[in-house]
Amino acid sequence: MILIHQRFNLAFLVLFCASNLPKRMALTTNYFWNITNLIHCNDNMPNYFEPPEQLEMEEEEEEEDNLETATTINMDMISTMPDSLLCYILSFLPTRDSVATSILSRRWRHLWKELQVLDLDDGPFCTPERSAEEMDECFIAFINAALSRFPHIKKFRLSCEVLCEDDFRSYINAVTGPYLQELFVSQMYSLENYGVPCGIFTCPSLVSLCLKGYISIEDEDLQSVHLPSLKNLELDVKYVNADKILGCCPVLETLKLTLDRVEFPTVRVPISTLKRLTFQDDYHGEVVEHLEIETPSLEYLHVSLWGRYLRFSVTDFPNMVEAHLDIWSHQEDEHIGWIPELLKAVCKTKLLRLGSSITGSLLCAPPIDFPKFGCLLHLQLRFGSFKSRFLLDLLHCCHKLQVLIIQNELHGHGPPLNQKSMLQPTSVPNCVTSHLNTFEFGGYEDSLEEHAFVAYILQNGLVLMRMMIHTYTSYGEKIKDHIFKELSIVPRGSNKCQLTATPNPTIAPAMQCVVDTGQP
Amino acid sequence: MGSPVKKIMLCSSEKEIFSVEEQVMVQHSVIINNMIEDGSYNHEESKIPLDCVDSKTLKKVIDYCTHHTHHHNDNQEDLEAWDAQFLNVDSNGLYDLLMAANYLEIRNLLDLIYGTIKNMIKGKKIDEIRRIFNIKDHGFTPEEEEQNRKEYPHFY
Repeated sequence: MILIHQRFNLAFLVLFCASNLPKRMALTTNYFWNITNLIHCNDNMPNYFEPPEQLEMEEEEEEEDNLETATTINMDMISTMPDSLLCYILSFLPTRDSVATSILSRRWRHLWKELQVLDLDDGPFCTPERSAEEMDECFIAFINAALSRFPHIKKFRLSCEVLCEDDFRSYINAVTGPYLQELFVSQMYSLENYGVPCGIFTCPSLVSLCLKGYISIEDEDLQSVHLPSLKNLELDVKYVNADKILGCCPVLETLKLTLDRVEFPTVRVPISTLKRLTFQDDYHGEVVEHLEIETPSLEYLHVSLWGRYLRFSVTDFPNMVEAHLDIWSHQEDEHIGWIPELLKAVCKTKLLRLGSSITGSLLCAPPIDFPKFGCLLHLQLRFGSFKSRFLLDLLHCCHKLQVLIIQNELHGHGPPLNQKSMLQPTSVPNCVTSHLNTFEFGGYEDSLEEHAFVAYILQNGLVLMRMMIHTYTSYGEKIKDHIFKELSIVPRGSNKCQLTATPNPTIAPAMQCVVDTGQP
Repeated sequence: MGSPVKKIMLCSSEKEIFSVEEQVMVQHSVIINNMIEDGSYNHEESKIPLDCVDSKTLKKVIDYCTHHTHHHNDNQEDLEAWDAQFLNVDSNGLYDLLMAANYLEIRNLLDLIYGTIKNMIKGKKIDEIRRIFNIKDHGFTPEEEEQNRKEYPHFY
């Protein structure tokens, strides 16, 4: 319970500002004063600030109606919900919106005061007619008012572009403490990187920490990291020695790590409790000696790498459910060297998505022995250029596959061909005849090889239910219709198979022609 | 064929009985999971009375749990599209669903509904929110309302 009927006390604000916050108060008259005033106002309380100039006030026609109908009692259902539920919903809104609900109706008037959430964004404060300084001042006035209103913040989100570093640090400092459970800080525009107070790395109740943008976490601030409750960590900053943080989060479950520059020769993720890992770099071919992922409880893995990782070690992931892999290949390395290892580590996954970089590397290299993907139900592949041989080799290792989605990304392998005979594999993969029920082909160009593969799946897919072809973007309706006609005369192995073709490479079809045919 | 699928009976406020796969409800509803685990549900004779959930809402709740049990391997976009279609109801329907999900403790459905209500407020003007939630009686005196409109014109 906080401050429900307590009147706002200006002295309190001043005191609070003096002790915790930059001593800056803006006196601008504008739209955002409104919200700052709203925070300050209470029932029967005069405004302590000058009322704002009314900018382009629009007279709403409904005003009269609203006042007239106010007498009829017809309560909406949402407003009859208990306070606790309404507050929970308000806690997901930006502070600007949650505070504004106090003028929605009398029922909502005090709800926001129960919140322990501050979600602030200086974006809306940036308008063309305002100078950076003015924006800064408006935003600061708003934060100061908000911070004084909410003493025990549990959740703090700050997205900023114009705030100066001192203010930035002091606001984070002001909310850091035993109550804080969730901290999200994003600094998206700056000439230099901002530091963050080291207190956030020893916050005992912190469950979720997300730092993004032009932020640099100095090594000396990471001397005594201890985050005993942290379950979710996202780091996408300009400089951080992640090693020093990752070892000090004993219950971490979700980690999203984006590395900006190569600073350290080894990247290690050794967390036994981790369930979800997203790891990406922005390295453009720079060398990393060693990448180590030791996370045996992992269920979700998403790696997207551009650097040259010379060595790689990984545990097996017996609980893997979803793996998204994209790894840029560097011709000069034997880069392909550890890709098979990674594929083997994720072979228990139910869903596998391979990006065009990794399929490209695999296509250039001599054929590898794929591991058995015994649990795989859903396979999604992006290709630079479509190769049916590679795909068939892979399908032979996925006995239970139900859904296959392929996307052709590069185009220009010649015009559609009429010759339709190639690809006579000796044995049909198990999954095609007994499990595959959905096949989707994006960026379909109708090349000889593509057509042959699609026809092959149509003929051999004995349990196929849906086949969706999204033709190459530049093809118009006419070519699409032609392609569809050609494919609809191919004999089908399943009499329940529904074939669709759309002229759009995206999954959600804008125009579609559906033909529901029986056995030809 | 394996053993027959275990079913449980749910009874709506109109005393209509719904038979649902046990696994479907156990996976989603904390309350039903607890009832099955502590043995307070007898498969032979009992049915679970849900006096505050009407048939229409209960049917929707069962649809939700069934879909999410059988399609949990679908890709995220498909599931989200299904959810959006599922929650395409008026604000009273949404309220009934919320109350049912709250009563049965179906956490992912609750989160979905909270998110939907949140989006009904986020970035919207007061008049718009009043329209969406059907707030006809805001309860302010005409003077207060006028004062608010004057002071915070941009929120209306």
